[in-house]
Amino acid sequence: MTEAEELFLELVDRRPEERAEILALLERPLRQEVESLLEHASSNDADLQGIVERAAIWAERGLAPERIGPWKLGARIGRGGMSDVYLGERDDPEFTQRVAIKLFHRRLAGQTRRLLQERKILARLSHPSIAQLFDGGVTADGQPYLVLEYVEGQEIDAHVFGNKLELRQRLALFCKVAEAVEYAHRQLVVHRDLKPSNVLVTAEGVPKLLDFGIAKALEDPDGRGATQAMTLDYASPEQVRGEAASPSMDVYALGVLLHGMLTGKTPFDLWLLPLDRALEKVLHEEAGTVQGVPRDLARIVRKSLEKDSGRRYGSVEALRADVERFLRWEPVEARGGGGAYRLWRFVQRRWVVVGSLAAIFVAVVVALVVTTRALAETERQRAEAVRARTLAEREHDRAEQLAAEARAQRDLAERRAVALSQQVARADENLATARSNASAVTHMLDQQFVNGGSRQALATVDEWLQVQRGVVEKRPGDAEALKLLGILEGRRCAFLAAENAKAAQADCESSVKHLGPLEDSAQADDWLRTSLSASRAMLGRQKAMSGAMEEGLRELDLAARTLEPALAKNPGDGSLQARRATVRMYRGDVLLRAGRTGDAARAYAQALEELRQARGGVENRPLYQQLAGAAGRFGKLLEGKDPAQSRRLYRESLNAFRQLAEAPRSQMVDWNEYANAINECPYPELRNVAHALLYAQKAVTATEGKNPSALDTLAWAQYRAGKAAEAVETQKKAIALVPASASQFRALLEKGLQEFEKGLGK
Amino acid sequence: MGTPVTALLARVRTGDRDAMEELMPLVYEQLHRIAQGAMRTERPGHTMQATALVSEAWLRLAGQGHGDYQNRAHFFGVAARLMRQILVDHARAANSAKRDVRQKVQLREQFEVGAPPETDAAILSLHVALDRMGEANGERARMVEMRYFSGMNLEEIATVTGVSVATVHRELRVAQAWLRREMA
Repeated sequence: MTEAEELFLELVDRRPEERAEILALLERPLRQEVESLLEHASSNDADLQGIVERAAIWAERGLAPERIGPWKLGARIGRGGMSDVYLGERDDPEFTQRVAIKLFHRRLAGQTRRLLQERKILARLSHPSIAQLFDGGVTADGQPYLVLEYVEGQEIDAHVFGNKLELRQRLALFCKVAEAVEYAHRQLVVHRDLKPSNVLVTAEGVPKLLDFGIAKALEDPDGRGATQAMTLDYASPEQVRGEAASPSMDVYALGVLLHGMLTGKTPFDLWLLPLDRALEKVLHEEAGTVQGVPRDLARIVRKSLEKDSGRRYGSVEALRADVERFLRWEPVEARGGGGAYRLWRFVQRRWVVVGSLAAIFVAVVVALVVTTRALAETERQRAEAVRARTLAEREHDRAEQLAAEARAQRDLAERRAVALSQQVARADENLATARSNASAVTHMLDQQFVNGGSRQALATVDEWLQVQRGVVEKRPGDAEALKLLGILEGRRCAFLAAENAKAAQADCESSVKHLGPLEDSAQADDWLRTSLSASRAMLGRQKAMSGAMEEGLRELDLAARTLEPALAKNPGDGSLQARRATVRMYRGDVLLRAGRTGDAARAYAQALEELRQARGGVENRPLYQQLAGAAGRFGKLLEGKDPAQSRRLYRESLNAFRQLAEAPRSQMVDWNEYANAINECPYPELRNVAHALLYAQKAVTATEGKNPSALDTLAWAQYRAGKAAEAVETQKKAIALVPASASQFRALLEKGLQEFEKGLGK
Repeated sequence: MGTPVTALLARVRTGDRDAMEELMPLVYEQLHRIAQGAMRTERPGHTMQATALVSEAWLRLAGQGHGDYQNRAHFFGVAARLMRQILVDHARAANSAKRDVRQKVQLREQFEVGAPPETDAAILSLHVALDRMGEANGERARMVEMRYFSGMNLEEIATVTGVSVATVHRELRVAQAWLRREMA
């Protein structure tokens, strides 16, 4: 990269004043070069992408017929796995009419007869919100086609977010869509492929449904095989299983549509997954509760998305009626009884064994994969473009929504805790249940820890430990019970370590004592190994830090080794690799503390190298988080020793943190870490102070100002931004939240406060 | 038919240049057959949208169940160059064929049979600019190719080029401004 290009990258994201300031310092030819690059910079590359795509579209356009019957084909306006859609115009100067012509791919020629049969039924559908079917037939060279009303409109999700519709407006629009589907169901026509690209909204705000009944018309009579048209995100489990078309499929798809209209996302992010895992999710994984919307509405979505069609709304009408009840503030049907059922599902779902998956889906083969995936990709890109455009406007809303989400998550965790503690009272009777419970509980605990901080999580884990100790007492020597106890102790140790590492040591030891002997037993699964490894790592670190260096290092070695069987089994598993790297970094930490900087540097370098080797994308969050952390610590170690290398590492670290913070599903932790990393960076030119403030504030808002770590980060960001007075206020709030028993943490916060006050005095 | 391609890809990954030589014609042939409509009897009207086409060629050549991430990324890397060649060839041919016809037939824009001349001109000018970039910085030109002609994401490009995602991002950022300036 040339000097001019480096400078370009430095400047491209800066404010005009800053740019001008720096540019003024440069010599003329260099300045001109940088300026001319900056002139052509742009926040997106749609223009360049467009050149290639347009060339491709036109290259292909040469392959379609110029005319079909009385219709002249114009530009292609859409493409799908089954067909391409062209603009059509009647070839008659007296009478111009614009239509959409859907030209099916030749491989569907076998379905022509059925398609034409079905066409007669479809042509009878006449509803203001259903695109009218005019005509259909077969081209001279045997390609089936349909002539449809040409609808000019925006896909429904783009419409909703582009126009920033209010919640009630969104729901009213959804009801109109549902009405059209009801109408068709009364004519015994099922859509079977409802999704945003099939629901357009005109400039007048009228929804128009496209492609009614076409998916079903294309189905093989036995309802299965390569011609299945579906988009996995919107397909119900029974549809994926290849069952005959039924209205319940449309109920489910409408549920997904509603989910998207409320959140901008589908319930599962299937695109990134390999097909088998995507199918597994559709078939077995409960959709998470919709966050940031009123609870009854979340219940309505959930009821529409039930895996078992019998538990879903019985008809689209029932779904719409419930949405209307919600709009009238009446209790919704979705509230129902069923609480126990759902709790049970929550506990069970992580243990569902998926056996027959492969056997069932051999039928849904290549064509489906190719077409739905390719289609999903283009749709995803389009949706992303829309989202990107509205993102800036929604940034503000989002901060508020996130606070609501955090609240909702905490509520949920609390309710689960209560319900589950009732269950566990019976746990000693049934170890299988206990096992499920523990897994659900550890998950819940982690959520609590992230959202509510260590206090709350500690209170809950103590309750659980009490229960589990009771179980162990009743069943001495029961390996399964011991395993759960050890795992819970490991959690307690981790939560406590966030407050006071010394106090955590006893829990770590106890956890290792209970889990260690099970390492080679039948109970040793990946769950046990990762838990044991984490406890050993924490223990080793604590021992080494408190002076027992060699003993600590031995424990850390064991911690790394404990992971080996799991890693050997799942070599590409990012979260396991991240765990191993964490252990190496701990090693670096303790060596550094002992003044053995050379050894510490080697440990960091090894961790970093492993992480770079594994190099998952930003989607691989644990790995990426570790990479960001490792680069930062290594950079710190080299500060003053090898400034160039140190600076590079800090840059790598900040970049990774930034990507994590900006990723679509980033969380409070990511924002906090990114802001923290900026605060700690010793190189002023790498410190993006505005980002530190922004993300620290986001993290504080998301935790409603109740997480002391987030407040501490914000205080430092404020201090670094020259707002010492604000920093003092923020830090005081943070300190007030920390109990005296968490002495280490408190001391740390107070040290910060002193520094801020000193800065205030100046 | 999956095996030879995946085996070749495995060799490409170890830096085996012969394997690359053997692979190119296979991929080119596959892309070209779809693009030229030689598959017409099977799938007329099928798209040539660059990214979809590359995905499809991958599935046909590698077969099901060989979707190893690394293989896939390398394949897309190879296909990007070929895709570019195909589109440029097409634009050149269309450009010369259309010159006479367009004078006679005046149709409304949307109903024109061929591409508007600016579409062909744009892809050709992108092609020339990319060639020029390649002279100064071959690696960067490759990344651009992979991005636009194969629709690869940053991680995939990083996998193929062996640099970090951040580097790919930076290179592309510069490349975009550079190309726009060159084509302006």
